[in-house]
Amino acid sequence: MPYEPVISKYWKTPESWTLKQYQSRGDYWGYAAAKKAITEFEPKALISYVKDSNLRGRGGAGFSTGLKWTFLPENGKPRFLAVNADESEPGTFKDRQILAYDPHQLIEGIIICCWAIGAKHAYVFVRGEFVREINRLQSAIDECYAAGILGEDVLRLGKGFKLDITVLRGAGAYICGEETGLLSAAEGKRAYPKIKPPFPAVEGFFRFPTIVNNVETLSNLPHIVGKGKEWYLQQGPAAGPGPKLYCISGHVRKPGVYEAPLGTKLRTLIDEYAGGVIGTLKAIIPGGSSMPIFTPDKLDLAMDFDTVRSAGSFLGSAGVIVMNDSVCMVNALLNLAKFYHHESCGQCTPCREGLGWLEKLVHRLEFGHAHDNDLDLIKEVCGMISKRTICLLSDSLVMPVESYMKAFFKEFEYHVKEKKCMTGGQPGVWAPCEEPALAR
Amino acid sequence: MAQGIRLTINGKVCSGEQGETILQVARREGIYIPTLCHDDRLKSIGACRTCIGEIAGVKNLQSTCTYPASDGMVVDTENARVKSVRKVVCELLLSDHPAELKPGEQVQPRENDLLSVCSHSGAMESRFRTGRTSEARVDVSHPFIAFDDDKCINCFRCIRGCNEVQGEDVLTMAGRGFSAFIANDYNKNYLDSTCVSCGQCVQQCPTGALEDKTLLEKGKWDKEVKTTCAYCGTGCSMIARVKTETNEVVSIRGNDKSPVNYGHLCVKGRYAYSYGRHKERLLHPLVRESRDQPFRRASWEEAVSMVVRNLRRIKDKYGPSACAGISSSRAANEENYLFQKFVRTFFGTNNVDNCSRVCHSPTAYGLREAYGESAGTGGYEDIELAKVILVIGSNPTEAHPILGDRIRQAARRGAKMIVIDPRRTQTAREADLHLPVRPGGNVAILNAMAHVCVKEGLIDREFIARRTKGFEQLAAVLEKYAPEDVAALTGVDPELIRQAARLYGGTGGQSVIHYGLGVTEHSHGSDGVLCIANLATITGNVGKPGAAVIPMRGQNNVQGSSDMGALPQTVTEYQKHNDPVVRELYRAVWGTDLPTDPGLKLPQMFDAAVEGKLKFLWIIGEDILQSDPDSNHVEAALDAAEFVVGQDLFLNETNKKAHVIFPAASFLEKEGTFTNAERRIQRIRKAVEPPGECKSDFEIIQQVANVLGANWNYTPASIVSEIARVTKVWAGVTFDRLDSSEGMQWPVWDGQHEGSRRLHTEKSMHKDGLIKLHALEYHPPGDELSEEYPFELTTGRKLEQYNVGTQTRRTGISVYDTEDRLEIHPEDAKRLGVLEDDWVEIKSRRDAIRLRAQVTNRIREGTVFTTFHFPETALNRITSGHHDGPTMCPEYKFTAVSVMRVGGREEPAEKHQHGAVPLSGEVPVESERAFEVHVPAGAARRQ
Ligand SMILES: Cc1cc2nc3c(=O)[nH]c(=O)nc-3n(C[C@H](O)[C@H](O)[C@H](O)COP(=O)(O)O)c2cc1C
Ligand code: SF4
Ligand code: SF4
Ligand code: FES
Repeated sequence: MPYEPVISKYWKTPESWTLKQYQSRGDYWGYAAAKKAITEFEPKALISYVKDSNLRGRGGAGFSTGLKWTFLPENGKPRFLAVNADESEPGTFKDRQILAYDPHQLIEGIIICCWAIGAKHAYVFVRGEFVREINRLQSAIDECYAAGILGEDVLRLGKGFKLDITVLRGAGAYICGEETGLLSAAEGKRAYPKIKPPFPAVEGFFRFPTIVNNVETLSNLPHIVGKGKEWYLQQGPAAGPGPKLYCISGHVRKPGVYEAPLGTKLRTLIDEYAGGVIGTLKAIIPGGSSMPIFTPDKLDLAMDFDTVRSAGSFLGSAGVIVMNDSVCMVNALLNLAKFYHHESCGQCTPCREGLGWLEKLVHRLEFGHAHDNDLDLIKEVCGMISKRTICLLSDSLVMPVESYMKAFFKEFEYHVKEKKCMTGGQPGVWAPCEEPALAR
Repeated sequence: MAQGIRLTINGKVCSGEQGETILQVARREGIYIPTLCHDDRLKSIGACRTCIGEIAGVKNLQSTCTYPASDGMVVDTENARVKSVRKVVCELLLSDHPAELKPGEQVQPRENDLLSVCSHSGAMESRFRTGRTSEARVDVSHPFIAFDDDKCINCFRCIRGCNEVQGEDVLTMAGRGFSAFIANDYNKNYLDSTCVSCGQCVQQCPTGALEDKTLLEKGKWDKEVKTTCAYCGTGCSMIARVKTETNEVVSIRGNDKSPVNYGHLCVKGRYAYSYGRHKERLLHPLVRESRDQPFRRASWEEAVSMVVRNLRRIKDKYGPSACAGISSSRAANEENYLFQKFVRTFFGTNNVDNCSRVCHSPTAYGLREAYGESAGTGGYEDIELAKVILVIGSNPTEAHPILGDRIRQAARRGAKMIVIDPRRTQTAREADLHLPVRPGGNVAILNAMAHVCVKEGLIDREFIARRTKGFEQLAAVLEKYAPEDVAALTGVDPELIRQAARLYGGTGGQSVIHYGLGVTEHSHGSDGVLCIANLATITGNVGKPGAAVIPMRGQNNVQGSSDMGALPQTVTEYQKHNDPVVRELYRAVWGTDLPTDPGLKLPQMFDAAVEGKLKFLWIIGEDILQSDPDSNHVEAALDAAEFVVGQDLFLNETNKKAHVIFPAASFLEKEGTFTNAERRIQRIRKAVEPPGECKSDFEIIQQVANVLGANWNYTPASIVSEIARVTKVWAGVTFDRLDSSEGMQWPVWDGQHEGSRRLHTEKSMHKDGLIKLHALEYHPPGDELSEEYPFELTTGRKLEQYNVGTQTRRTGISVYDTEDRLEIHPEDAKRLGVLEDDWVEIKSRRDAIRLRAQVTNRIREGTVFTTFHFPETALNRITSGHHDGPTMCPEYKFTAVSVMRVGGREEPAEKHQHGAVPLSGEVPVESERAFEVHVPAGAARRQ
């Protein structure tokens, strides 16, 4: 500390979303990194370079980006990049900031990626509700075409590198964020996820090899190329380094998006960045609402992919949700159950019917109609759903259900036996929280 | 060849191939894995999760319907972990099922995959039961299909079947999560959707959520009978489900194992079978002494003896050549064989023909001239193997729906499709190239394509040199047919023709041609067929996988009726009856001499009758007065004949002119075989007993023959062995072999031979083994356009109807379609002041009829189109009287007409100018009305 932000460095600068501002930043900014990538790296070498930087996906799974790129088959078929800007996980709100305040950073990342993977066309699939973000991104793309940055000859380097970027709008379903669901939606169909294998890298957009990467992941690329992988590897644990956007929300004094290197302590994030907990800390979700929950004893955990994982949860999209002791865990769970069931695409029996039943069962609990063996039934249904479905949406509810029940078993038992809430709240009503002081 | 692998499934060592899924291997090895959302015809989506298994070394349970099998893999689909998961899956599936869906109370348990999967998984009771949900949708709007949302398990099979098999997009899933449901397009109901009623969704549904209405209304079936569809020449294999108690077919399913249709059927095959129990069905013989008398009911003995008496009388008085028989390509092979034998032995004349005269006789002639055999050169499988599919003169999605679907699916998978047709048909819309040719321009356009192939080096010189003769002469004629030079004849942009030729000729021998009546039914129809053969041959597109010429036969047994020798000049397999060797063979088998007269073709029979030379006419299963061209002439012929015998299911325009009508059995009521357009001989079987006193055509012919002294004791099975003796290509065919297979494609050379998927693979079937090319010039159509008759009228079929509608109009299908309309291009309509739905008069050199107009750009400018399904239309009163030279096939597809507006939407008073008799004719008939019309409950009329 103090850490100098990289990705979010210019967000508060006026007009940070314009090409003019982007090109006035000096150093490797303003498409100099892309130029360097194209002129100094052969595509294969660039893939290895990114792989060696240990950049890991920021969309949720934390998979090595460079490694993913190597999965593209050498079969002469056209390849595509699909940019995942569907950000819909509750508690996650970082990609939209990039789209709104620094779209050129993303476009530069896209250029670097497409040069590496040999794609001539990239599609950015943006969550439909992000109207301002879509407009900012589209104007940035338009500026790039006008400036010769995109189009027939990228950056006018004469390398025969042609690149088009098309913005697609989602129509409001969480499942559009799942990579194969996103591709189905991009093809103009209902956003049904597809069974893997084949993975999108082999058979994706209209059955062509396709790389799906998250907005934040791609926004790391200009910095890896610009500052060098050696620098990058020092930003946090070498097995998964880099600047990270943490979204902190819930019972904290200054909720917001904060940039810190991977591996920053949870306590630091909450206390130093987000201004501390309002009231008495009860639970923390470390990586977006679908991830298993932590109790306060995990406060000194380093927030990077592997550490969070070994502690029994996932860094996911780094959506940190903080809850104080006014929260009834059954009530909180019901809220999630409603969401994930509502967002199930309805293909897989375990997910469609199972999440429906989980919602029903948690609802019974919350409203005091639980049957005696309902907790066992919930466990059994979870066992049937988890990892039995086409995509991971179903696990997005199973993980919270199982972890809440484990960490706060007493509360659940109380709901079964006493038919009411331990925290004294009204069934189904969220405890009012103290008005937080807004970050900005 | 894919690499072989070995894996262990549930303890059994199995061998498979790289690229197969675990389920595919298991199924082949006879290991049961429960599935619900999987179907072999569909792309697996892995949604229902009942097929899960544990794979050693793989952490999570996987769906075996999607997981690729690999060498050394060990899979268990029945261990405790898998079972417990599967059980909960099943319980959840059952949760909102209606209470009546309990074991033992199934509508049709054998049908119900869900129930068998649940009972296998030990989950007949669900802990999650909610019972019937109050807001559940039940949709009974469709005439044949009922939908009950509560039984639906969201397996997506109906949606995928509709799309991946039928090629429509009628169904979709709407909503999300637990409340996701099946919706029709427009989100209203089945009837108002774009559903084409193929019933694939019903066939797919594993739960009975989608079900045939008849099955729900009429209850359980107890017998399944495999048979073959009797509508078009595709020859789909189907399973009739019979309720023996009421002697009734209650549902028809496609035969999943059939290589013809893989379980798919069209609306006609699947649902238009209730005509067999229509109240107008003839149930006993009808006779009358003269045409001014009403028909009266007679016993079989009386009717038969009346026929015999008159046959003898006329034959004695005027000689054998005054008698003739018209056989039917709707009837079975055995019946056609027996009838031509009957005519040749007991009439003593070669005056026997069948109704394929008016459809595919140019095919029989043309393909024989070119290749030495009157049949398609390949099979349907070539559709999937081809890189380019050329469809000419055929509207397959309506007239041959299952082939249409196979062609379109092949095109969706990447094959290029070219359509040559005056109309913008569904296939044309989806084609890579559509060439809207002028009716009558086939020879010109095919020659032009061949011209381009020659000029641009797209021909297979090696193939031409080794396998053909006549190329020099052909090439010389083709010189004149540059697309630009014949543009006026084809009416098609020359550049389009060039592109089509490049596509077709550019595959290196992997292109198929499918053609239909749009090629044959012209005054130069035979030339058209020969030009197709030329084009296919010079580009090397014959006798190889994915390279074939396949005629789309209009009726179920067009191929067979002619194969069986129901033709004046040839006996079985088109052997000339005046060939001494053939005569010797027949003498040995029949014990009599074949007659020596030349024999009359169908149109010649009418001429002879009008001239007073033909006195006795026996007509099986064809309404010639409606379906043959120039009806006025046909009517005169019938009136001139002294004695006419009809044999049919219903009273129709033709047999209203008869003296004796024999009530015949339908295809569901008899045994035999049909031969489809890929030469596949398939069994038809008796599913129900014929009603009343009806008899099969076979029995009727045999009964009359025996009164004439034949002493025949044939069965359909025994007649097949006789056919095998006189027909080389049938030598190895027996009922037993047909019964134990999915049919056999002739030639079947002997008892060991499995049949032939393709002909002419090494050499053609001509004596010299060469393929004959024919140098042919374009000739204008017989009927001429003039100032007075400026429009080209062409005709065709609609999906929901079949020919003159004798059958289809007597089923629930009539909900869909109630009249023939005249399709006219908007520009033409504008010039004539015709608006949609206006009444117009169509006048030709022969007569005039009136129809309502449908203004559409489906048809090219200058051409008008109509269907001929309704007798009220009396279309054939105006059609051309010209014929194809060698075969006398009528020129249905080209008539010069004028079009004139005669009124608005209101029907003009004198619509039925000619007194065409409407469906339930006024000819007095006494007959028991044993059946009521089956109007499905809830069926509303579509507007
Ligand atoms: C149900 C579900 C929802 C998801 N939603 C998102 C999302 O909104 N945004 C995102 O970037 N990734 C989302 N993902 C992750 C993507 O599937 C995918 O892993 C990611 O886009 C890959 O990009 P990355 O490697 O750059 O992280 C979701 C995954 C699942 C299973
Ligand atoms: S797990 Fe759920 S969201 Fe994912 S494909 Fe299956 S039904 Fe759809
Ligand atoms: S209607 Fe039948 S086939 Fe269609 S999704 Fe439901 S259960 Fe499956
Ligand atoms: S049959 Fe495999 S998931 Fe349904």
